[in-house]
Amino acid sequence: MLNLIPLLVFLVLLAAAFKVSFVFHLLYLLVGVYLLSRLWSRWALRSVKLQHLAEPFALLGDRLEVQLSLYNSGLLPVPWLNVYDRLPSRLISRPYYTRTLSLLPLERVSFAIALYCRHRGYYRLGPALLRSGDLFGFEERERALEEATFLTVYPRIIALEKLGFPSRMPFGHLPTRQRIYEDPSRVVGVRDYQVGDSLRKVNWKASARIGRLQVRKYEPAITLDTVILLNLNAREYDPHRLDYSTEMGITVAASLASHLSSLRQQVGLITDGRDAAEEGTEAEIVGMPARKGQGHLMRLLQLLARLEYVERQRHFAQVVQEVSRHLAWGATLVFIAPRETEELLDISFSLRRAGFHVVLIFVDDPDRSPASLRSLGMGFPSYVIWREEDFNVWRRQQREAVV
Amino acid sequence: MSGVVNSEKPSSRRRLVSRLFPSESQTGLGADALPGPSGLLEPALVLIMVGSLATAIADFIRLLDSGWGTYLIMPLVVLASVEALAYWARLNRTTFQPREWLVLLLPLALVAKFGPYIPLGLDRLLADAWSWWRSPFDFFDMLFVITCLLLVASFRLTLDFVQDLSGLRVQPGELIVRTSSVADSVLYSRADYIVDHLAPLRRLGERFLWGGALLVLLCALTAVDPAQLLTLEGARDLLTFARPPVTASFASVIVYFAAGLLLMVRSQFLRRQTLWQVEEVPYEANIGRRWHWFGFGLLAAMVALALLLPVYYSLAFNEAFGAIMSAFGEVFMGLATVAYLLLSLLLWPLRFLRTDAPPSAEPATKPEAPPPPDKAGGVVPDFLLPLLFWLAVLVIVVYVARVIWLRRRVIRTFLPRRRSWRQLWSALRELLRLFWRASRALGQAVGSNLASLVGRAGPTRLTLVLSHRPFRSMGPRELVQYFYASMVEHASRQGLPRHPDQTPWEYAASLRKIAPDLEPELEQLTDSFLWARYSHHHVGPEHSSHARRSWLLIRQKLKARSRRQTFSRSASS
Repeated sequence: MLNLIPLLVFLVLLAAAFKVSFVFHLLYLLVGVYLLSRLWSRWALRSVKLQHLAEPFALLGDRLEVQLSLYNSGLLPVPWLNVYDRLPSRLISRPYYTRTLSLLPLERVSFAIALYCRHRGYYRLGPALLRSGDLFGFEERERALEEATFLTVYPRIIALEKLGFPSRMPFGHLPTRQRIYEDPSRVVGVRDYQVGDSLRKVNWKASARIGRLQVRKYEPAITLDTVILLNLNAREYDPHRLDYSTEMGITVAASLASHLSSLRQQVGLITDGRDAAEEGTEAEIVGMPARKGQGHLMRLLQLLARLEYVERQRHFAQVVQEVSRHLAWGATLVFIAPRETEELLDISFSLRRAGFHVVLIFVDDPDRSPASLRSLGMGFPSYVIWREEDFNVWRRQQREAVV
Repeated sequence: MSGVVNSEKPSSRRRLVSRLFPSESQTGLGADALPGPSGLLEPALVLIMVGSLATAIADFIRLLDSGWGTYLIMPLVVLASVEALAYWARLNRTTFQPREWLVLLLPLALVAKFGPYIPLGLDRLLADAWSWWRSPFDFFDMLFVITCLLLVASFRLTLDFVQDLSGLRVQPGELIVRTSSVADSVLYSRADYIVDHLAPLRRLGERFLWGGALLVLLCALTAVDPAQLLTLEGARDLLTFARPPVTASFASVIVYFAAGLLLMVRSQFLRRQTLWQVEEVPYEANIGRRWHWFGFGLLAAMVALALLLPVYYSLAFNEAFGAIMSAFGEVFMGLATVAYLLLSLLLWPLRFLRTDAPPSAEPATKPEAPPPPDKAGGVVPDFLLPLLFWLAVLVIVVYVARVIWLRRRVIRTFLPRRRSWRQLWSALRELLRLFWRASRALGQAVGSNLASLVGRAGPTRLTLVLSHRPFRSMGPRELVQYFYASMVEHASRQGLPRHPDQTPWEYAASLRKIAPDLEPELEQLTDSFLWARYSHHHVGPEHSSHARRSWLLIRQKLKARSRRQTFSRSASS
């Protein structure tokens, strides 16, 4: 690099000794060039602003275009600026974006970066590193821009048609064969009065028209309030299949939540995974209470998108034991677990005794046939979901729709 | 280069700008040729810097002796720089040969010597020529020697500048090669080596700063007149910072520094661009143009500001600085005096320990000077030394003229095509050939006698050693290329030129048809050349010696063929 200091010292001595006027002019020139160049590179880099312009959410399989915008808010041009922006490696083959450009005062430059949303997750765009310098090579400066933009890619959702989960909660929207859960808002017809019928069920207009007492017939219906209990403790999974199995568990959870929400049922989620958005906090339980509605579903899917497996000391059954006090009586609890274990069966028994319906779904046991499950013999609806074809148990026809 | 993005449609203004700052993508990066300065900016800046230095030196020389005609120095130095630039543009190796320098610089030196006689007339030239004949060393007067040294220095300086500017660029084999074939990608998809591009930049900066320091010093000395400094009072004023201020302006200083700083801007850009290309960082096409314009703007503003600012305040500051330095000097002198006194006090008792006799007051007798050599009665006659000297000079001049005549065919178009010229030239050529044969026979005789005296190495060995001397500076790879190029040149002289479109193998095939006796050496040399020129494999001394053997045999065969042809022609006529 060019080092002007020795020449400047020499010129000062020469100017002092000879006192020739042009040496002073030369000193002015070199000192000016030296100082101004250093100040220029410092000020210019300070006024550069970087921004990621992108949709915060994307569906799996989308091609998302991120605009990387650079703006020079200062009045000095930037002779050269090298941008190094980190990108999620799961969404782009080269996990960075780099380019060198120059910026005039108040100039804005944008570049488009294509991301391929091939994996569910919560991704950070950035941080970016800006590098610049002066024209003579006196100084080179770097500035790290820690502000980052986040992108959420929703998990995969497989369309389901019929779950067949049990429930004892009356006054719901789901038809059932259990007559005790008649819904007074769902009138399906009238019948003759029988002794013991409540007078509140008498349809007076129909009775007057027919000439004898008629009572309203109600359709029996239940509410399937469901809480999905998703086990994401990496210690309980086979390490060789950890990524695939946990992803399958999240896909199952997302598909169930989507299906139940489309039936206007309340869905909640409890998991021992880690929320990637809550970096720094080590909460052992992450969850959302059971609610219904599209907004709730989107929030739940976003949470599922952000979930990551983590190694926990506590068994997931213990976590469920702890949270079961806060669950509504009669709710359907869907366990999504790696495989059938003693702890899981114990907690399932105790929960059934406490009035819950328990459904068991195993996502890390590919060699096990559903018929051989002990839980099935104990009366728990149990499923083994390992491949996409395994979702057919919840579909009337073998067709799929990926949302 | 794939790194350059956002190419725009060129307009006439853009074309001019691109001529000034051409994109490196136009210079064929990745080719085997050495990268060199492109466009007009770099050569212009180098010429301006060298010219400024030459002007300052010429001014200083004129100050030393006003009788010297120094008006030719600056144009000749610039011409030498232009020659160096052209020399580099044609060069495809990194080593320089002094013989080539001689050919390029001797005409300029002759112009420097004989140019001043144009206004003085022929009589003066003849009178001086007679004095040079009698005393050859009078030919080399101080101004001529200084001019020659300046020519060599400017040539070398320009070459160094250009070489370092070339070193800032992407070197052949430095970029990662992307190939479509899987096998090729496994074999060649890596950069061959890593090049340090910072060292050339550092050398450029140091050369610029050292040149600037020299220039400022010379200009300052010119401004204050060195005769003043030689007096005791002048030297004291200089050392105690007590000189009166002098108002002087030297455009060459400002021009030199402005050009040098611009060259630094350009160099920094070249290095950055090279780094981006090597690191495969895409960069905007307009970045180079903007970089240079920003540099121009900054420098123009700073030069204007520097020239407009008054020096009055600086003079006051300078006086204060001088006073501080004087005070430091006084303190230093005081400390030195105290130290001297203390040392004398400590050493005073040692005087009593001395036992040898005190030195006598009488001075020692001065030894007699040896008698002057007897000039008369020497073994060598008086005329022989000047004859030998001028003969050597003539040989050099004729060699240079021959090379220029053979290599620069364009010169012939400017000369009148008369038969007398050709006759004169052929006579001169015959004379030279005669001289060459005689000197070669003499050299061989001396070599064989010397070898027999030494008793170890035979004449062949001695000849080999002597003939290796010019190639000392070449590496094995360059030697192989040199031998091949020499073979092509020899063949071309005998009417077997290599067409520019021909590959080495095609050329070898065409030679084989005409001169089948060149085999198998021709194939071996071609093979060695291809290995050295186009492969990245190791080329060792064994390759170069192998190529040398092939080359020697081919040359002998070509000479024999030429003799046969001459004989047959003369016989038929």
